[in-house]
Amino acid sequence: MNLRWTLIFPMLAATAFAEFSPLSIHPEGFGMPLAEMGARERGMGEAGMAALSSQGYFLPNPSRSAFFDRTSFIATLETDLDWLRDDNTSNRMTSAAVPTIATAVKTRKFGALGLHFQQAFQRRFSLSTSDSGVNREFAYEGGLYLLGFSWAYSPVPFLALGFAENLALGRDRIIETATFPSSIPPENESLTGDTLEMRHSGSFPAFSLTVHTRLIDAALAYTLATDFDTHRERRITGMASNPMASESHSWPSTAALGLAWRATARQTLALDFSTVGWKGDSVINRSYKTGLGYEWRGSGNPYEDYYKRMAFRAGLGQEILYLQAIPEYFGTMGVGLPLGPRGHTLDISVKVGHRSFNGNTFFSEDYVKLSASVVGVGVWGQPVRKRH
Amino acid sequence: MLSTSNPDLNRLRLFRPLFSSAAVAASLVIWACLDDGPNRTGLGYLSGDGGVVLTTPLYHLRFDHFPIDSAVGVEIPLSHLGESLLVVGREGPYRATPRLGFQITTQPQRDSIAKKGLKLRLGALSSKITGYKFLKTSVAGHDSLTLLIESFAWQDTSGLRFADSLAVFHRRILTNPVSFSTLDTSFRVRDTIRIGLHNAYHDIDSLRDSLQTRVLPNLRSRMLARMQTGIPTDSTRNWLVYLEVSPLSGSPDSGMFRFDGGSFAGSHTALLLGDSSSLALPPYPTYSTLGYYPATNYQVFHSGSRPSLLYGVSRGLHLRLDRKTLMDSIATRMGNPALADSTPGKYDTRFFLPYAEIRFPLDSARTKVDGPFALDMQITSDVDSAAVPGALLSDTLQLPLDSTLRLLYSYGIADAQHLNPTDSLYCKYQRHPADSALRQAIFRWKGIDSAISDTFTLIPDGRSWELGLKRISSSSRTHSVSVVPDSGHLSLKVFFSTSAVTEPNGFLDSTLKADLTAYADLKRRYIRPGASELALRATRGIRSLLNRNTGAVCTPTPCPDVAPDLFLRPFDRRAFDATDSANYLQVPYPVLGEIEFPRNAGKLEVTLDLYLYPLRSAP
Repeated sequence: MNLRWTLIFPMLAATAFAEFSPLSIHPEGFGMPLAEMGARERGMGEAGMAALSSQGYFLPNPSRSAFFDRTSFIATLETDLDWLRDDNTSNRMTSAAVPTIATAVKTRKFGALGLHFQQAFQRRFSLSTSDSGVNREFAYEGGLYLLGFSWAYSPVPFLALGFAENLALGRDRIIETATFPSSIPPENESLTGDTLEMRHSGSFPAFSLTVHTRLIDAALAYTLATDFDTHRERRITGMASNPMASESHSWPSTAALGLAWRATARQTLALDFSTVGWKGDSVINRSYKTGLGYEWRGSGNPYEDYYKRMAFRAGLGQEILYLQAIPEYFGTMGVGLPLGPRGHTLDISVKVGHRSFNGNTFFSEDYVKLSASVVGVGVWGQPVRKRH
Repeated sequence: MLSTSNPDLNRLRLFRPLFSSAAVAASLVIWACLDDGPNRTGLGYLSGDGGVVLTTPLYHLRFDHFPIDSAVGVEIPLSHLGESLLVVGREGPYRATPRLGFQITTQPQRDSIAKKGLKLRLGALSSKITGYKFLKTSVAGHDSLTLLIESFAWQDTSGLRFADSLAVFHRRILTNPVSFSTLDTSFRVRDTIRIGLHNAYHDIDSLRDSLQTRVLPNLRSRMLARMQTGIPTDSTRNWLVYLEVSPLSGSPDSGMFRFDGGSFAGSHTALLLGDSSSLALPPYPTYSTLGYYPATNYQVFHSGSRPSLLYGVSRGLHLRLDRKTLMDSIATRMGNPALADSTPGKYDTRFFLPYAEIRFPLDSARTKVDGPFALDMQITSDVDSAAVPGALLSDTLQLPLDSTLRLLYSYGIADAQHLNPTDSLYCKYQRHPADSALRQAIFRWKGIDSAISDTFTLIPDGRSWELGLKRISSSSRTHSVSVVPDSGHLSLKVFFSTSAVTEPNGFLDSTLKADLTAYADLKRRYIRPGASELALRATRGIRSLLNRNTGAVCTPTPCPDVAPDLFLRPFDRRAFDATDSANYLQVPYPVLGEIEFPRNAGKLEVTLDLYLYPLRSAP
């Protein structure tokens, strides 16, 4: 086992965690948001929207892929370990997701054409209780998934424009089960599932632009609001409800701004700010997110020693969540590991964060997230020179 | 590739095994130790801000003298096809008529009929059978019984193995017995025999007395005439013979004779082709997926009061509880008037019901059961009665003779909102073409299942019959309909079974782990000597009643009204000898019983025992 696999192995073995939060209980939302970027940017405080690179993925800013030098492919695993606490108890939970699979095909004349799958939200929480001998379990599960294509084009060397169209498909289930004590008639039947199932569908476009200068890059992104169609269905043990009225579920607009300063040839400082226009009842509110990140890039020379080709990243950020206006603080670290001489990389990041709720009741969450993105590059889609 | 000339990396390589092992160990620790699984953390948030955790988990309510909104006695076409123990006779309001089928397929058999005669032998049940003591006492004072033997017999037209007719007539005459009066008169003939009842049952098996062998001269004459003068005239054809044995109408004698169906070793019932020592022909065996069964069947009819529950006769009670009365009772008992209000829509999600029991008080004086026997009962729930579009559940539809009525629409499985009917069900009521004293109810689907129809032959006697319809492809549900045939019109009480399910009726042992299986341990659910009430589980039926808001207005309107009814019926052939309280041995022969429940001003009243578990009121 050589050094790179010694580093990689524990990351892959502890596969995919994502979000496990009591905030998942709210049917008004979609669950907890997942980061919409590769592990490189996650290691930079989830900033880096304008931190250009030759490969990678940053969903809100598709225009960035116009600056790729080759076709890029990325797949991300995300794992999460949550420490939950409330007034009386504490618990540790793990969860998992594969939030990103994407590619951007670099063409010679038409910019970069991309396809992506992104898990945008994850709903996952469960707990069990036992009162008066009744054992109850509450389970909240599901997610919102985006399938989309993007196009990025650079009409002039210092400017790139991007467009993406996203098809959103979601499925959430809110389930309560109960088993009853033997002290009441032992022939009782359990509640095998009081289930509310919601299926969402809709689509929305996103626009972005990136300005590239010698020292500073800047990016703007805007995602249009829309209404998702939501079909709901309720079931109780052995009995389906009559059809419930379909309803609309608002998908808000998103505005994001990113700045990146290349302090030296191998150092980048990035600052991102975004806000999402969530609105609704008392549970849902506009969200804000700020991230600050730093990257030390390794040498691009494949003949250098391995550790000299590694990249190192760090960052921190703050977010006001769209549910209950809960503040969240986090810090990140990351490393970029070259995979072979052709430019493939494995980006790994660690995110440590905290959020807590102080309303009628109290709970807090501390978490560690591990992300691993495998980024491959190739010349597919580009003209090949043949020797005659 | 790592450079082997790099001294730093060479030092690092020395620690590589340790590094790798630590990485693997760390991974395993993450997998094995860090995940505690779900516990109560976050419960306060769910209770306080999610509003989904309730503080009172379970209510136990008991309602005595709860009125049953309607209780209708309904006859079910009950098949005893292939049963090995049969009954014939007449006693009080009961009349029992068995049927037997025989095949005569060899030349020696045909020759024997011609040379030695034709007889029917009925074998009384053995003294070793459970409940034999009752058999003896039941025929005391009944010295003889006159029986009518109605035969339907003909030669095989194809000449060999009835390939063209056996399946058809087996299904018509045995599986779904039609009246002999509707059959071709040229193949019918009648004989009368007289059997001795009292002498048939002895303390010790005695073949001489327990075998009732009587000649069938008219059937033999017809067969011989057909062999000699029929077309074809040869005597080499195979024969099918169906017999219906019934008490002779107008005869003053009475009694019930239980006899074997000739299908097991030691049984004696047979068609004797000659004298008693010659060929004995038992009912022909028929193959099914469960094995071979004999060509036998019987029916028991009852002419008594209609609302009673009958055992062995196939009459059940169709019960309907009024949902509003139930919700009002719950609201009053829980001191929460809001519970009486209907929730919007047709689905009420305020409670889950894990257990419900319904207890019927018995009218001991008017409940009459053969012998000291306990009778098993069952409830079918969620019968989902539905009125036809535009009608109410309480409506009885009148279908005049020789007319047609549309009953309901059927919707595709995927059409949850019932917007596009795929089929419609029509019923036609007409005279039977072969016997104008009988009636036919023809149910036909029009739409994508137009090839499916059901035809029922009915006696216009004013009884209520529950008829099951064939399943159609466009619906996941089965349909049945309740009808009351009279000579001039058919009354349809529209009970369409859409998702009926039999209530679980088992009990767990004292450790609450294992199902009780011994009959003696399940006494609680039997009607038995000395019991003052019948207790049965009705969890699923009452749950449906609670969760389905039948009083709501639905969209699109008008929507068919739906009520989750209960159907109380006997567990057929589950009678037990209660004199042996330790064993409760099953009585294998047909047992008859009439069960009456006390009524208050015509209303049946029961005790309801409910456990209610609150759910979120709205998602």
